[in-house]
Order: sequence, then structure tokens, then C-alpha cells
Amino acid sequence: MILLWGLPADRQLAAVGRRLQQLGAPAFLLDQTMAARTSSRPGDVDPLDARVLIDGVEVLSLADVTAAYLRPHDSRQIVERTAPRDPEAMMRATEVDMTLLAWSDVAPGTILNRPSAMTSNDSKPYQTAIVARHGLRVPDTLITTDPEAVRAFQARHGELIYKSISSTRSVVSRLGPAQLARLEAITVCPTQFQQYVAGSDVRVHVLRDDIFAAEIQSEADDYRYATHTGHQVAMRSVTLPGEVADRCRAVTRALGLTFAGVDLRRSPEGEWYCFEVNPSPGFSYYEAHTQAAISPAVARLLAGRSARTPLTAAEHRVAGQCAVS
Amino acid sequence: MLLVVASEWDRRGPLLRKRWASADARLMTPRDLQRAGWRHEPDRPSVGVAVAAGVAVGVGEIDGVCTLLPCVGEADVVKIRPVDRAYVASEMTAFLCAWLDALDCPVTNPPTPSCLCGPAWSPERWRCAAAAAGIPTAQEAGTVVSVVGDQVFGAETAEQGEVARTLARATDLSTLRVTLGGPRHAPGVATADLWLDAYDARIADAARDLLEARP
Repeated sequence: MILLWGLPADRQLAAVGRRLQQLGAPAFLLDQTMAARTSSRPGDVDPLDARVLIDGVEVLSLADVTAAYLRPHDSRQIVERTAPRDPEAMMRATEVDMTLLAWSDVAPGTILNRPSAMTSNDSKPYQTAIVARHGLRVPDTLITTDPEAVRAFQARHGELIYKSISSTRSVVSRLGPAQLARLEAITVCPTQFQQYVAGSDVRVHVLRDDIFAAEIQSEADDYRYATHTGHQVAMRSVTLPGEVADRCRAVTRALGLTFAGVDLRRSPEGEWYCFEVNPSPGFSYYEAHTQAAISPAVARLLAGRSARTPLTAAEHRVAGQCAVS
Repeated sequence: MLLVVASEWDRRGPLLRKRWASADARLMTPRDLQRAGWRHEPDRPSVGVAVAAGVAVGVGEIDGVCTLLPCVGEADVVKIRPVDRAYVASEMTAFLCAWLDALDCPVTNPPTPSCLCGPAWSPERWRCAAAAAGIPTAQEAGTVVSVVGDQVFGAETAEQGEVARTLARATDLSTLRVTLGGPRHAPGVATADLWLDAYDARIADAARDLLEARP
């Protein structure tokens, strides 16, 4: 049995679910919209043998799960909306989350991805230190509460960007005269600065040994927010140099991940920099733009079928439908 | 110099600083992250500068770090305006994680992005870790045993000490507090946590020995 955990409206989860259906692989969607009605029961002897129940009826034995694709939200937040005055439902939802997260960290089989491995980008510099140790170049970085240190760093590197240290999403921005004028503000909280690297962004989805790379063309400093600044985004599938692909695989493995979204930038001089590795990649955006068959590959990996086997024509068609739906 | 990283609300911080005074122990709290002077370049951490008790210290001067602070919370940054506190606290936590991880001296325990004192696991996850290491598990909590390096404190039987030590070793943690259940001579792991009981002088001394035992 393959477990899909999250919200049915999640595009990634939905696409993989459809692909599993196409493959005829048995899958169970643990639908978090039903979090207030879901409970868990620990295994009597083996903690891996826990059960999941909905309305008190057992729907899943975790001992039967051979693979899982995890896209969970915090169930407590869902219960707050769906059963706001039900403290027991809240307690049950918390237990379900703890049970499933504990199980998925240690369960045998293919787990995309294990929760403890997914925390690495909660601290970007912690993660990039691991990335650098495994062969991908990262931009020179300074984290400081010292305005003078920023000026010295700028003198060394020229243009700088600043961005959040934690996983809180922030718009990557260039350090300009306006920010320099209020640099004293950094004395109350460490702030992360990086050398600005010009070039084109390449998003690489690594799925165990498979690589799906998309080059993004945009004038925006942060293409994810290009429309906010009046810029356009264009995207196309590209083939990475073998050495870069190997390093992306090595970094993904080093972070304990099986599936990852690696954010690279290729400089005009042809150097490759890694900015971040997303441990729960929202791949549907890239799949829709490039028609790369990521969701079929995820489904095949979960189903224990070789992800390297070429797709049939029918599977290609379905991949396209999944990507744009 | 030994650093004790703790919330300023945590009484264990000043306690350890005082007990470890002969090792030039300094207390670092989140208040120190709200002071000018920090410099951390991940590709050359040894030239960095930290701030402890309001004083800038070179990273090379630090011989060991005992982390009592699981994360920076909003209560630690009350100088920040309320709307920004959660963000600032998470930025400080993420920074400390990277900074502690980059240190070239003993750190108990090495940080994880989810907790600066080590892995922040639920009881279910600790039991899974125990099971994966071949250690029995228990649903009911009983004896609490602290592990510091190879030493155990609070065990009523040799078996309890061995189970706690084995879990710490299996999870690669130099300090761990293990709650055991089941029969005293055949105990199982009910849960564990990263609380260092610095109020116990024996545990405080063992933790200091651990930090000063540079490989």
C-alpha cells in the first residue's frame, strides 16, 4: 500500500495520486480535510505497527505501507477551522501527526521525504554548509549584526543580496542605497547577506538518481515573485552537465532526501551556484511549464517500478494532463 | 572559555556559569543576538565574532558550548515590536543552528534545525528510535535516567543504565534524559528528551568534563 498524506487540493499530491491510479498501484489518501475525524492507535508491541482510524473505524495499518508521499499540513490548524470547539479532536489530530511523523522517519520503504531530513532548510546557512561540503558551490555569505562588517563584505564582493535565514519565505532583494541608509537596523537581529550572482536560474528536481532540470529566464532578482515586480518568467527543460547533475544527486543524498528541488544559478562565466534545496518541492509549477514527466516518475518510484524505464506514449499523455490540471 | 547558551528565563544558565567559573564560563542569551558585533561567514567560521554577556568574543577563543536553549521564542525578544517577534525569533533560531553547527569545538548536543539542543522528537519518535536500535519500548513512564557521555545518573538498576546509554549511543547524543517504563530489570523506553538537569551538581560536572574533553 502506498500512503499519500495531505490535502486533496495539493497539486503535487493530486498529480501523483492520478499517476498511481494509472499504474494500478494500490494507494491510500489520508485526507487531512478529515483531520478532526481521524485518530491513531499505537502498535501493541512494535511502534511501527500503528493504525489510523476515521470515525473510529480502522482504515490503515502502517505495517502495510510500503511507500509514502508526504505533503502534510499541521493537522491542528485544520481542526481549528473544521472543529473549532472540539478539544478532543485537537488532541487526536496531534497524536495522528506525531504517530505518522515518527513512523515516516524510521519506516522501511520509500518515503518522500523523511520528516527529520526535511527540516534542513529551516536554517538556510546550516543547509548550505552541507551543500558546500558535497561539492556544489554556494555564494559567499555573511550573517551579522555589525553594519561595518556588511560594508567590508560589500567592498569585497560588490553587489549583495539579503534574504531570510530561516525557512520563512522572503523575497530575495538586492542591497541598495535605501537599505544601506538604514543598515543600523541589523543590530537587533542577525541578517544574512550574500554576494550577488548574476546569471540564469535552473531548478533541478532530483528524484533518487533521476534529474529534471528547468532553466528559468527572468529579469527579476527572485523569479518566484517576478509578477510582483512587473517581470516575466520563461522556462524550458535543459540537460545539466554530468558533473553538476552528480553533485545535485550527492547533495540530495547527503541531506537525507530522496526527492528534492535544488535551486541553482549558472553565472555568465559558466559557474554553477546552489542557493537552496527544497525538501518538499512544489514541482507542479515547473512540470506545467516544461512538460517534464516528474509526477509519473514519482509515482513509479513509490510503486517500486524503475523510474528509469522509459514512459509509454500513454503515460506521457497522462503526465501532460497532470501537469496542466 | 566555555559558553552556556540559554534563555534568560532559564535559571540553569547562571547556575552553570557560576559552577563553571574556573573554566571562564560565559552565558549567552538571545539578548546577545540583539547586540552589534556578531560576524559569521559559513565558509570561514573560525574568524567569526560572537557576543556573550554583551561582550564580543572571537570564535577561536571558545573551547566548548553547552546549549540549554531549544529555540529562541517570542518571550526572548520582547524588545522587538510584537508584530515582528515571531519572525525575529525564527531568524535567530536559524542563525544559532548554523553557527553552533559550524563551531570547531565540542557542542552538547549538536544542533538540528528543529531544536538547538538536538533532535526535538515526540515520545512516539523516541520509541521508534529505540525499537530501531533493538531496545524494548514501554507505554508507561517510570524511572528517569540522565546520560552524560558514558555516565548515567538516576538508574535504579544496571539494566536501566544500560538501556539509557544504548539509546543515547544509538541516536548519537552525548547528553540525553531517558524515561523508562516496565520492569526495573527489563526496562523499555517510554520517551526521552534533551533536558540537562544542571541543578544536579554531578550532572553539571559531567557535562563540563564532556566539553573539556577535546578529542
